Amino acid sequence: MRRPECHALLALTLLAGCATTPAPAPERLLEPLARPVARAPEAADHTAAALASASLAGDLTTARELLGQLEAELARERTVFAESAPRGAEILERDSERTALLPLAIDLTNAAADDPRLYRGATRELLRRGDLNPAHRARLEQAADDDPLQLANRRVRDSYESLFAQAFNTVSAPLGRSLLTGYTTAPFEIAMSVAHYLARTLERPAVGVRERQALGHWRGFLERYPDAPEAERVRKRANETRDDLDRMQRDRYVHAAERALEHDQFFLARTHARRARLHAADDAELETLIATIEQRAAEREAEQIAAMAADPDTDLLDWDRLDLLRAVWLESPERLGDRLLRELSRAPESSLNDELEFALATTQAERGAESAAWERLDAVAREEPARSNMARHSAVLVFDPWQNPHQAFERELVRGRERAVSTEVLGHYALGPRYRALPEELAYLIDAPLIARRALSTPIRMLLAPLGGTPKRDHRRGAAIAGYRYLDRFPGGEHSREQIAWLFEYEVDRGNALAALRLADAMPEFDPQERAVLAEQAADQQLQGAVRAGRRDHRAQMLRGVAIDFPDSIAGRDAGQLARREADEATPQRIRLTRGFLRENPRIAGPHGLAIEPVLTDGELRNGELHPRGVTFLGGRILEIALVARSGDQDGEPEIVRTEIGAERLARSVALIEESATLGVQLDSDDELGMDGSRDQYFERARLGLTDEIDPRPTAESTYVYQGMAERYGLVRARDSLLPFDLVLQGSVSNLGLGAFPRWREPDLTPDAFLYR
Amino acid sequence: MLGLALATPGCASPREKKQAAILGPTESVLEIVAVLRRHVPDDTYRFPPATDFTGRNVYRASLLRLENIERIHAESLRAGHLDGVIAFSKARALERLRAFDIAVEYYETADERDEQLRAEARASAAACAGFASALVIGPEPGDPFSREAVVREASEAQAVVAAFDTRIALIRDAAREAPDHYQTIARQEIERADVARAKWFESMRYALPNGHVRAVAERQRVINRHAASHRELQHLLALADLYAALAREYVEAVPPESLDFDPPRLRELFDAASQLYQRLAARDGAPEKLEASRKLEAFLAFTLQVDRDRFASP
Repeated sequence: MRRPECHALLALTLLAGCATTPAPAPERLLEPLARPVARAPEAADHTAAALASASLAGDLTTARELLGQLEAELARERTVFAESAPRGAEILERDSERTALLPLAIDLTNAAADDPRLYRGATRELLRRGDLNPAHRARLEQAADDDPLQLANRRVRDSYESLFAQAFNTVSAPLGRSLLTGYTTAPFEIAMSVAHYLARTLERPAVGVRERQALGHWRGFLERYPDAPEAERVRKRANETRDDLDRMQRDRYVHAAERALEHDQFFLARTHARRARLHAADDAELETLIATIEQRAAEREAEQIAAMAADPDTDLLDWDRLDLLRAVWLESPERLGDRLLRELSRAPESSLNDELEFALATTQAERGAESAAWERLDAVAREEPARSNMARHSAVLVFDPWQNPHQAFERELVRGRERAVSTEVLGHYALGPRYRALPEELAYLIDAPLIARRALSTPIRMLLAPLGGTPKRDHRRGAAIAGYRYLDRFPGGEHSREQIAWLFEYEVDRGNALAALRLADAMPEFDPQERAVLAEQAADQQLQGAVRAGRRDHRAQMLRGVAIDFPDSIAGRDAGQLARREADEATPQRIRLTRGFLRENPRIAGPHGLAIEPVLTDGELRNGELHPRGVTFLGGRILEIALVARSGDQDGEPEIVRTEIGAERLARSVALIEESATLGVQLDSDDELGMDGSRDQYFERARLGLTDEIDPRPTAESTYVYQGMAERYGLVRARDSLLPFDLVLQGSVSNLGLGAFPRWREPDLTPDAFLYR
Repeated sequence: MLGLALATPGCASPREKKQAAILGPTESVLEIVAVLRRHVPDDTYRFPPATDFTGRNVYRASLLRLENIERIHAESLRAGHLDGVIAFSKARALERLRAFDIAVEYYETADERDEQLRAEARASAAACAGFASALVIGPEPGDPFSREAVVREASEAQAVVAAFDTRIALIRDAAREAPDHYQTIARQEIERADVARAKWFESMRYALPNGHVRAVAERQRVINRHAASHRELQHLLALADLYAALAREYVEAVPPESLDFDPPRLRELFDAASQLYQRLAARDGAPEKLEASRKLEAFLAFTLQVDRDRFASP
């Protein structure tokens, strides 16, 4: 082929490609609203209505009679329609849901018995039928399962399964991990695993969360059905579990009280002991413990009082120094300081010298000689309390983090470094061994191999740490708090400059440009160019915070703040523009239905709902297509439709069209959205419907045609998004395996190990488990 | 092949599953009424109201779903064969949501449209009308943002007690001849009246002589009268909160470092509040457990602010 022909062909191909770009959106995005076809009620519908009335009126006999009548009528309906084809065939096709009517009527009759236990039995019977609507079946299954005794049994079974899983994994995991070594290390690994299992068993509460849940269900059952035939058996079991639980709680609080008492924390010890009393009335051992706590607290109080008491035989006042005492109150710090120095040099061995030193330190602090004052107090604090009256007072001041924040800063700095090193090397073992219920030596012995392994792998972990991206713990936080406290108390203090410099580095390191900028402004010699860069970073940080703010009024306020605080920065300019755009485009609501959701629920976009022009959802870009973002209710009766832009890029920004829809269209759409979402939850628990009060309120008003009166409060805004299942979970959803165990391939850089083994899955805790801990 | 055939229903897309589950007008109404009917006799005084599969209050969810179905199947329902059932069901839901006056209107509709429901609808309408007229008697302290809040005088205490007594008498009257489940509703409304009365005295405790003692007594009265209620823990928590508030107010009014501070007085309030919080914190399975345990921690933290020599231990 000649070269020009090639070019022409290429040009044609490109043009053909261009032809697939979407045409402009159709003029009319919404079709006229279609009236749903009315279905005239058949005899069966009238009978079903009568049955519903009988059930609501509590007339079970009539309801049962009508149920038989309904069954006969439905059978007749099927025969008549089948014989009168093709009309009958059409109706049968149209009314495929008709088969759901009889099971629903049976369910309604069962409900009229007004006995939850009978209802559950009848429901289990009903579930055996093959003609149940899937949503109805799902609801009935839930109702049948909602049996307190069955739920209690399930929790007990879960508890046993959990114990079995732990025992199984105790053997399978070490065996699998010793695969690489040809099982030569298996005995050691299994011995270690068993030791950990036994330690865990000792730590496990006597009555776990699942047993406590079972107890809750048994109690619920007894409250509701105290005279049921199985009540006596359930009561006995509930009492046994409750006694075990009380014993466990009592022991737990007694143990906590004893530990608090060991550390002379009488307040805490008393609180725990009193809580133990709630679980053990007339417990002699506990009462002895409480008496001990009271006695020790009283002894301590007596000691404190005695320490403050003065010896009546001692003449405290040296009448020769009365003039000096007067001067402490009346003289200026300078003159008093000079006088105290003279006094100290005059009688270096005087018994009152520590008082004089203390007073001198106070005058030094008042004159701004901070370090000298603290050194002097430190020296007094080191005196023997028996020899120096002022040693304890000085010690309190020296170690008080509010009085002496600089020393607190130094202390925290050292502590932070120690913590950083120990955590890096030992991980969570830095805080002690895992099993606190065991004697400490034994707990360390069990953990020793793991601690050693962890320590030995430190260099490798440090090398790989930058790749991990896990945020590191901030070990300098304590020092930073003390540093800021120092600046608050002594803004012009001796250490303020070094403190500011340290805090600046700290804030820069943790990426807090806003705080670093504030500190930079307190440094007179700070480079203006560096400041400009820092200001840009600070503005950007504040802008990101503003963008993340959930409520539009908070967001607007924060954006204005960025624009005002950083008018010369790029982020400040962006914030101003964003604030203006948000103000222009603010809408009372932003409830969105994605394209995926609309595709999964075609009734909503269909002719009886929003009535979106069908070509917009046919998947053909050339005739215009709905953007994945879908449609959004903006409040009032305004609907925003997002269309794929002319570029044809479905991931790009959409073309937005806003239109006002009629009250009827809005009301019907809202009804369909709610029903479809509810149906989704009923059919699939993963198809979650999030709770959103503002959304529900808007929908309620929409149903009643009251949306013209707009609620402008930012808190009334909903930004709820209805998404399709494929959008939420992808095309293939991960499902729980049918096998009760997972096959695990485990490799660990820190442990230098590799293994493969089956791990038995422990049953998940139910969502309300947190109320039973 | 068999395996493939068995797998097919499980592979249906969410769209296909939903399409297969959509019900016709009569079926939809029956589905909602069946759920609601099951929960009509529920003792919502002793046990919390049931929730549906979405986690919503079952009465509210049923009402909303009925309204949705009325919209979706408006044309088919125009035949009117389900009018009485729908109106009656809505009324049954509304009375559990305390909208007694609207429930009366729906019962009247059911009375007109459905002969089978007539007797029940009339009896229920009478009960709901009785509840509605009872609820307007007596103050209803509670909504701090209400524009119609009336400034009360301490001298009204006797009148307030009398008003609540009248309200309770009217509630009892309304339930006397009514169907069984109205006994539950009556007990709930009596409980609300008792709580409203306790709240009134709590809000007036600085205006009334011995107002604090009276406020505590009123809270205690609610607990004694409604020990069987599912809201019992809330009542206990309210009393604990009152004791804790009194402790805080005392410490604010008489600073512990001041010479007038009376440690035993704070001890009394502390003991009362902390013991109640501890009792509640030990109750498994109730949200009040969490609330009480966190409040206990907060309360203990508050006492740490009090000088150690004035209040060293509980």
